[in-house]
Amino acid sequence: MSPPEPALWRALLGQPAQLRGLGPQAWLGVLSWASAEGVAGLLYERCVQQGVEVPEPARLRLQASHRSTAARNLQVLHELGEVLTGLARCGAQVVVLPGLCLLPLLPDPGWRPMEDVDVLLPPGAWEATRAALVSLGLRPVRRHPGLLCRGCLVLDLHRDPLDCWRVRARRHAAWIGPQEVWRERRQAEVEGVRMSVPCVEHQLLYTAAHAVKHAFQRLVWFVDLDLLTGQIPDWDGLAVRAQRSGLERALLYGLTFLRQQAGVGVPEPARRWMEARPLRPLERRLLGQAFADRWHGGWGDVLWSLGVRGARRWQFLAETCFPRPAVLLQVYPRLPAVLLPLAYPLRLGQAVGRAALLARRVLRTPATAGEAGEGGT
Amino acid sequence: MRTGRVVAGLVYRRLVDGAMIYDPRDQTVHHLNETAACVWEACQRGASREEAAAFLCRDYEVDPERAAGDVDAIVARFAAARLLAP
Repeated sequence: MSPPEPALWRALLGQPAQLRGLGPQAWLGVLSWASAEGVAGLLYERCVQQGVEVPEPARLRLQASHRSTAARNLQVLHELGEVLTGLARCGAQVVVLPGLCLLPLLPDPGWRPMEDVDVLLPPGAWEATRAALVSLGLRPVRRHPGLLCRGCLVLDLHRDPLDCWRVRARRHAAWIGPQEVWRERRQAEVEGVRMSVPCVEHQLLYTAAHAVKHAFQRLVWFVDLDLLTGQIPDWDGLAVRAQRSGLERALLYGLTFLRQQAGVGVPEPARRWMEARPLRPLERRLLGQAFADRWHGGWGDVLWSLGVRGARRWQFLAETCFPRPAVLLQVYPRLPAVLLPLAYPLRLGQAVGRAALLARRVLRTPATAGEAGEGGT
Repeated sequence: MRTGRVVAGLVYRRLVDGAMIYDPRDQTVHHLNETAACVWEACQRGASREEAAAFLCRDYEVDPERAAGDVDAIVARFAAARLLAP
């Protein structure tokens, strides 16, 4: 399957008219791509809303995807609602992080699949809150003390929003303090379920960091960024938070994709903020490569490391490649614990191979890759 | 004639091309087309079948006889799915 064209990105990000006139065969290609990206439901909603005619076989498959996404999201939400009610009875609570807390921004729940539900536990109350969740019937996943399941619900427990407790050196690049998120949380009603969610500024920074961490692999994160940028009441305030949390560059990278690759407009204050922080040549080159390689991944840690200065950058990369044993066992879930020492040379081999692959891709790509497609306002 | 009482606890949500009802009792999801969604919303407001048919006539420009037939058929399906109580 070939990588998506910018026209397809733009269709998803609000301009489905770009797809008018495609033939049935081309639509099947669009369908495969949208399904692989997890955005078929969103594409269906866009096309219906804006009257874009879709050939019948593709329309039916898009509609089925939209419906199954909506159904699953409602089921997950209902299960989560029961868990939150149970937690409140135990005197405990959590903050629900994006993506699920973004549902109120979406026109309907079929837009976007929600997989794990990320929740932030109260500082200093990890054990008690986790125990309360287990008492409510959530079962831990082997080797993942922070993953709990009940029915269709998978809860991913966070001690801090960016999961710096798993890779501690990540904190050298970026850190959103859990106390700050708790202090500034607000109440939201998501499809009838009341929950605590981060303030919109934290939601945006979290989403930008998440997209970089996972090398922009899912297009839907850009849709989230697009929705959230329109919600920010005070860009100066956001800029201060981004700088304080070390997420300026992550936010800049996400907005750069929206403007330059997808041709989507960003609010005027965001545009000014971006212009005051131009990409450095190395960033421009790596970012262009990361966008081009979205489906292959591998660039997340490299981009993240650009925010770390000096020797700490190498410490970050070393800990990412060779995390502590409990985390490494999660990376290799089938490896017996007694064979853990073998995982380190295996990891070294993988790291060297991946570095060589990424270097080769960079050397084969023209230096202007990150500058393509300037557009939007 | 009454349409029936909407069962408590159901989650109803409008979608771009209709609506869906999530029934937490058995975790099932019911998809509704535009016409069925219009009738369900009439049921939620406690409307009679005649009033529901009038909403269909107004919103979809169908003749009253056909609208009445559609409402009867849709209400029967809601009742069969235990979404409406007598």
